[in-house]
Amino acid sequence: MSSSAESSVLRDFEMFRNSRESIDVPLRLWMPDDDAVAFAWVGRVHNLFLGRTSLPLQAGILPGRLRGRFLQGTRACRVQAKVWVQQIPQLGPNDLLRLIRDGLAGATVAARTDFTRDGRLDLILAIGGPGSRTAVALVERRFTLKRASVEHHWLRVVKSSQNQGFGAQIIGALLPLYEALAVYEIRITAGLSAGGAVWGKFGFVPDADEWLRLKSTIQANIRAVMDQEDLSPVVREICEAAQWLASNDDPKNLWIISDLAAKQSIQGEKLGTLLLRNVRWRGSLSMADLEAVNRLRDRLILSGIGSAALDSLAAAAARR
Amino acid sequence: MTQRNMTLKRDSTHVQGTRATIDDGFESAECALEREQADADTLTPDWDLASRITTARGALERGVPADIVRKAYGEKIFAAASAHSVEPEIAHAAI
Repeated sequence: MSSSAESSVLRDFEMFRNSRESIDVPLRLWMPDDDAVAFAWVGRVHNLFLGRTSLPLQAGILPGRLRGRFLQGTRACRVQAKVWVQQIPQLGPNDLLRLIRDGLAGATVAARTDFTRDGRLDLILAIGGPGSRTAVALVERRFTLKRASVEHHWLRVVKSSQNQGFGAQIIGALLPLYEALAVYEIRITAGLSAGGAVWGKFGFVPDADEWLRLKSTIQANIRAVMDQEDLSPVVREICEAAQWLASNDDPKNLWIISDLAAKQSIQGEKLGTLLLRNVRWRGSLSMADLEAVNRLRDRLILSGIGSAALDSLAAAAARR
Repeated sequence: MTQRNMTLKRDSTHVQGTRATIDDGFESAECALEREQADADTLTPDWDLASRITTARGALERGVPADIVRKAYGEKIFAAASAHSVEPEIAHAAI
């Protein structure tokens, strides 16, 4: 006999199962950004062989995997409803979907849940484009609710000039969801596909042990720049500041390094980007860290995204 | 098919080392953010001036030597960050 909360979750699942709306997810979207090229090609050949270029996903939130196994149909819904109520009693699937869609200006969303063996909730979201059935983004967020933490595990977006600010938009769009799930820390792995600079601009800080590891790479990058003979005195002075920053133990110095030489480029690259090249790090953004929140807020506002959700989340983190 | 593709992605996400360089019409969040920031830099120099002033001020408060902050950010931002009377809102409005 299921509880009324489980019945409610089950009703939401059934509603989504009967939905006729779907999103076509191009198979290319599933390719990991830090994966071997060979692997990507094997996947493509495999899909070509099967004659598929996209994967239709029913809109709404539906059960994906449970403890490592795929479950489908009515049984999956029943089992997942039970786990759902244990893990996130405060929010039903329909509420959760509404929160996500509100942040994405009502875009169609197909989400799949994955409750892992170690108690994590993974949420995989395919986001539809405006007026289109084709997905423009695939997102995976891994929630460790016991630690009030979420891992920004995966995000791929369609490369288009019409989607300016889309990367930042998705960061902002999911903040109300984090507040509803009482999640106050966002974790990332920086430098997987681009340089390690951009996350620092959004307020992310390397873990203390990661910073200690990174310092030598950054110092080597600084030396490589300073070895150039035609370096302007201004850039040389900035590099001297960078040397101090990279020798100090405060991980937030990465923010300053990522900001370096906004106007000066070396070989077509910003100095900050250059110094953080080949730098991969694990880090986080704590909503209880006012300085980090301010830095994220500035970036969201600059990308044309409102900061109300962030302010509300930061206030909730401060009240804990 | 669904299962196969989800597994395909999941099992491979944290492979270290080589990186995909093929252009398949999609990009990672990191690439998207980096491109967005670079485009904004090109279109509007100083678009993130307020953010840099805020960070420079925070650095001074955290004990980063004033000379390092001045060298890193330049005189204009250093002056704005050092001026305690300049509230963040005013710094934003000054852009």
